Amino acid sequence: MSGRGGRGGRGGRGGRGGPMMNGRRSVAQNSVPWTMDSDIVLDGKPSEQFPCQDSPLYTQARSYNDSGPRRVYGQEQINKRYGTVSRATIDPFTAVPQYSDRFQKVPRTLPDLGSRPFAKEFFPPELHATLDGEDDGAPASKKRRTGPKTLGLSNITSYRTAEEVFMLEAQTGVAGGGASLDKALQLLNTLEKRGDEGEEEFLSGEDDDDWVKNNGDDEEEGDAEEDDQYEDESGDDYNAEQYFDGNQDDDDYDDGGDDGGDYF
Amino acid sequence: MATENAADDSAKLQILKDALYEEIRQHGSETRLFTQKDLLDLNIIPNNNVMLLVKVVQGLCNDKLLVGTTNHHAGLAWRWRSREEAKKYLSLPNDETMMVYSIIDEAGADGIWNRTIKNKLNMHESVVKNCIKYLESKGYITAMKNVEHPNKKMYIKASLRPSERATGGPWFTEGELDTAFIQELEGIVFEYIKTKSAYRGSQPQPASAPKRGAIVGELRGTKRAAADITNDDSTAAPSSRNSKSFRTVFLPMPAGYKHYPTVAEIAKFIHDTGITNNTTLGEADIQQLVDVLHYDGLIEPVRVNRRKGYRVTRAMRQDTVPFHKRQKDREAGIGLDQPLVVGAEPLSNALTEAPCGRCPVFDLCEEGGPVSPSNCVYFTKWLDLEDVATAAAPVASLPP
Amino acid sequence: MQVTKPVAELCTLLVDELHGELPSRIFSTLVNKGRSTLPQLAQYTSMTPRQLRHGLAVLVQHNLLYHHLDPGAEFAFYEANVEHAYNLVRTGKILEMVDTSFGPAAKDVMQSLLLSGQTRIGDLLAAYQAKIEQANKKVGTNDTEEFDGEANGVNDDSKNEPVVKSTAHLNSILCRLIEAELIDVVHDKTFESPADVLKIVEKEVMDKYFPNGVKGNKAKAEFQQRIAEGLRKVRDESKSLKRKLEQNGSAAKRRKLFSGLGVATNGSGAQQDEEMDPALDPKQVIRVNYEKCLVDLRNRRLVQFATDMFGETTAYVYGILLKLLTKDIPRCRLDPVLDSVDDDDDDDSKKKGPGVVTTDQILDNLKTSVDLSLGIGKAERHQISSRAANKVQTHPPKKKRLIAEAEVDGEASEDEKEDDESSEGSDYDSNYEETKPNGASGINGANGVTHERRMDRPTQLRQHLMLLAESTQNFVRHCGPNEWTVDFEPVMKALREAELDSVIERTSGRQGLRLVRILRAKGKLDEKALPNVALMRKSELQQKMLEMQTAGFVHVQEVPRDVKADVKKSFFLWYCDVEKSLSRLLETSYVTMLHCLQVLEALRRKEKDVLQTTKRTDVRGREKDAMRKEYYERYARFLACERKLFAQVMRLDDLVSVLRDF
Repeated sequence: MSGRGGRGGRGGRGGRGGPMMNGRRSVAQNSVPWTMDSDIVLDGKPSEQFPCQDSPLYTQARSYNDSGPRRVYGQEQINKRYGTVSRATIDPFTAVPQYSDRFQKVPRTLPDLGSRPFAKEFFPPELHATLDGEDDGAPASKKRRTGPKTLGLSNITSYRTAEEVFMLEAQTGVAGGGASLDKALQLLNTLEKRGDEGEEEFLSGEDDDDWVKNNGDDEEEGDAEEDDQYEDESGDDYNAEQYFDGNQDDDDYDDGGDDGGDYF
Repeated sequence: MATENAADDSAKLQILKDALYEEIRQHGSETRLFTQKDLLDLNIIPNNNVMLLVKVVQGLCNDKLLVGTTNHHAGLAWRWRSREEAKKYLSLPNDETMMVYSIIDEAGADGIWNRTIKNKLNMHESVVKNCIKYLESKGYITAMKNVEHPNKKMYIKASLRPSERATGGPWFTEGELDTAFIQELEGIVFEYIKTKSAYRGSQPQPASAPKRGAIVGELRGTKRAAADITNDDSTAAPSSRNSKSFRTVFLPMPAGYKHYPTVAEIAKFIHDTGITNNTTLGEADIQQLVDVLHYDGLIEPVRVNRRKGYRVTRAMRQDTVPFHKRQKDREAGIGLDQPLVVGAEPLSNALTEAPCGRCPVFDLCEEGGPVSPSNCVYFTKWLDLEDVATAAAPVASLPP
Repeated sequence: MQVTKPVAELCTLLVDELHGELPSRIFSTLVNKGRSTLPQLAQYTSMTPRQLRHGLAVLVQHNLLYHHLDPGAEFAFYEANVEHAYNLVRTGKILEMVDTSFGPAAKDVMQSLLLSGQTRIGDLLAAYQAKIEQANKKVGTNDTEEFDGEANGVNDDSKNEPVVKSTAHLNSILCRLIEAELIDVVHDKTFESPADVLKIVEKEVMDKYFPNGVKGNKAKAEFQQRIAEGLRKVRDESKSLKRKLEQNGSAAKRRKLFSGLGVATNGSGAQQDEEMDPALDPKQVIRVNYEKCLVDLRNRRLVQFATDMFGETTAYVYGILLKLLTKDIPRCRLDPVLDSVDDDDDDDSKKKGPGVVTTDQILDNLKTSVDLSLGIGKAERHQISSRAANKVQTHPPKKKRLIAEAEVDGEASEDEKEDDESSEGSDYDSNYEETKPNGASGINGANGVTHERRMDRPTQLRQHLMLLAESTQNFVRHCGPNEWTVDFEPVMKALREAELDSVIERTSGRQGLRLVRILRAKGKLDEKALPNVALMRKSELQQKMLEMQTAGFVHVQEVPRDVKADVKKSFFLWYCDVEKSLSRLLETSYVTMLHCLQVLEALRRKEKDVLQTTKRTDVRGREKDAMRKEYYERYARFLACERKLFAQVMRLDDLVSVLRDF
């Protein structure tokens, strides 16, 4: 896990599991005060077992209010724990368009349903429009989606186990000494990046049709593309740049209207 | 005439007494109760003269050679007492001492609590104390410990050994459960069962250290399966038998094995080794040990046909270090923290490994409460994050 | 499944973990408030209907909700499907299982299904088609570009090549997964909650057969039977594709011939193989069938259990037996009503439960590379009672084991014959001779010879099976000559007890385990009687008992001898209620899983700044280079913790599965 950074904060799939997670690992002795047996072994099975789910349907805004109450007694309080973004919550100092905003990933707050096909007959009729992506609250003229709906497949071709990664590393290392070990590590990094690439694409909520096609393009990391992404709007998300660029799409940051703050 | 008669009578009485006493002794132990009819049937008293019998018996009672008791079934009855004992009784200075002595005597091998003596005799405590003091000084009685009532001051006749009930049987030494002795024996019994119920053989070493529940063959990942094949091939070829990849293990015996050791065999083994030379252990005692090992999950009973033997559980996970070697190590101070009965390492599951599984405040722990997962110190330690706060500083000060 | 507070919280967190915050908020509300409509949800959550609709769509897509629309009603009712939400934690395990038994391509397909939720076959085909084309294009360009990269490249190349090679290949994979029931069909009642399905079926039966109401006992019985039939029909609808494949039997059968040769995923035979499969109807919608996945996961757990108790070779044999035996078992815990009627056609299999597997069948499925001589000790033949080893038990064990033992004792007369039995020429004998001709010196000979003795393979196999049959855990029942079966109830009971015991031993030590097992064997026992049986000091024992009472492993009953209820005059009877302990263990497991995820949440909050940095598009993928060292280390540490916590949650699910589902 160490040398080869991973994807975002979630994840923790295999591939990054170093030798240390290979098989059992003893818990350090006395690591807990109440006389933990030294012979207890922890099976640190790699967590590729728990694949992360970053599909277009994933809503990833983690807008939890840390400062809010930890224990709650009613729905009102529960709702308060989730952050809202409205004019009132915007920090005037950081809300000014900044260069580094370009690198800030726009969190998706609503699943991107319009881009993929659904078996609508199994959904209640009241959701059908939503499934078609026609429930984005934006004026019809803004609708951009014209291409065919395709089901995106995750490009994580396999959740490689930590073991496999380790073995690969070891094999190469044995074969050619230090140099090839480096090479192997490099290779791993590439693989890793490749994985992230697609995911990133797909998380950005844009160009979903390309989600499949872009897989594994090593070179594709240029700023140009990112810029492209930022020129685009994404209909239902809060986007500081967009906001301050004058795109006053107020629907989304409701100033304490009847509906309550928009959900992020 | 009268005096002569009396003298004559007393001589005659003495003869009868002696004769009756000897005859009684012929007919049973000190614990046997003789009724009046039994005594008459001994044919010592001429003409079955009851009056005479009463006289003779009375005389023997006075000499403390007979003890009268009332028995629920038979009514009044007597048992005999040895002449030495009788002498002791007669040597006692007063009635109180005699009564105290007699009550201790009657308690037999179980002994008696000094409070019981006081209550039964309805005597003043100091009197009882004095009597006991006298009897102890004479060496007639001795204090003893009863495992069932370790805090009670008990007395027993000095000539008797405390009963099993009082001492707790072979597992007790001076009223204390001798756990060291028990554990040592358990270790030996376990070792015996282990070596007799499992086959010491060699198996090819797994390709790599088995991961949790290494699942073989088809259930494994493809990479592993490939490793399997090469490994299996090597075992098929006898030439590689001596290669390093073999390790010694215990293997389960085939089904239907008829020679799993029985309790009788184990008892014989223990007896033959002479480990317990100053304690005699019966089969029942060994059974008790074997049962404990069974409850510990270390061995299990197997019934093959009518024979009930015992075998070690999880044979392949057993320690193969020979007993004598471990013994030597222990003497050298190695592995003293290991239990005497080694056994396979207990199975584990996620619950026993996560901090929660053994958390003292588990029931109080809740998000939002004073004790909560998010501020859990045990988890922090478990995740090796304990030293983060302290470690962070030096790392930060490193040159960029 | 009982939805207690920790279960509800756990499932909400799982939904959050895999599908995000919006669906998890809605899910949590549905768990807490029960069946609700959209307007009700809006009221409960103060979210906009638009948000709700999006969230609900995601939840329905992933089968995490039931919904029901009464005819003519404006709004549908939604209800949380807690079972499926819990199943999210098993995603990784299911993938691993599919990988090992069907190969990486099948795993890839399964993964797509798990990630996408219910999917129309046509859409899946299109998606794979696109992916394959994309990959092919790239292979073309890569050839020139990475020519010199070949040295490092074996993995690289294989990486570029998609695991699923063609739509025909995909179709073939789907056929196999459908045949294995790991995938089933979504139909119009899939999303009705069990209660709704029952209501619908009841109504149908009433309308059709009992228009005048159900009167009399006979009618009532018939009514019940019709309902069971109706429910079964609904259940079978999800197997419609499998049935179609079975009708198309010849291809499936021919493929089975091939499958004996190993998993044919990329061999040359695969091509022909695929052509034998009928093309699946692209309009059908499929999803992962967790019920059947659990059967396979149970097999794996049992193999693990056998590994722990015996060894890998025996466990391997057991695994093959289980695989063959459970091929047609649709779920771990058979419904007493529904599943008994199921077997109406052939009464035989109904009586025998899971059916039987013969020695030959197992033999046919063993890998030739596996050396069956391993794992069992060797004994002279006169040391073995082959009669005892071969004992056939036609019926599943009775609940009271005492009866069985009494029977054994009753066989005294037969036992006396035992000694000459070995000369009868049991298979044990004769098979030794096959490999070692009669004249050979070794048979009765010295110790060294035992190594060279070889039994033939079927005998070796039988040895492993008999060992399993003899086990105290009831792994296998020898239910007929060369026929084997597994009674899942007793073996699962043994496994559950083993799990409980390991927790007891790990927390209260060997002596704690001893005391619990004494109570289990003896029933209620007076405190005074315990030290003598356990050979423990009274004071230690009392302390241990108290400790274990707090942990819920033992229980005490106080029986006063008189009205005064004096302590000294009361009996304290200790006992242990295994069921109670197990359900407490289950609850503890849920809470522990919850705690792990909550700790993770807390860590995420703590490392918020670092995690936000890693989300920056200019950092992502090259964290190590882009981040300051100190920051990167924090990030790496967080990832390690995350992995450890996830692993722990997964392993806790192992325990939950054993306690609740298997």
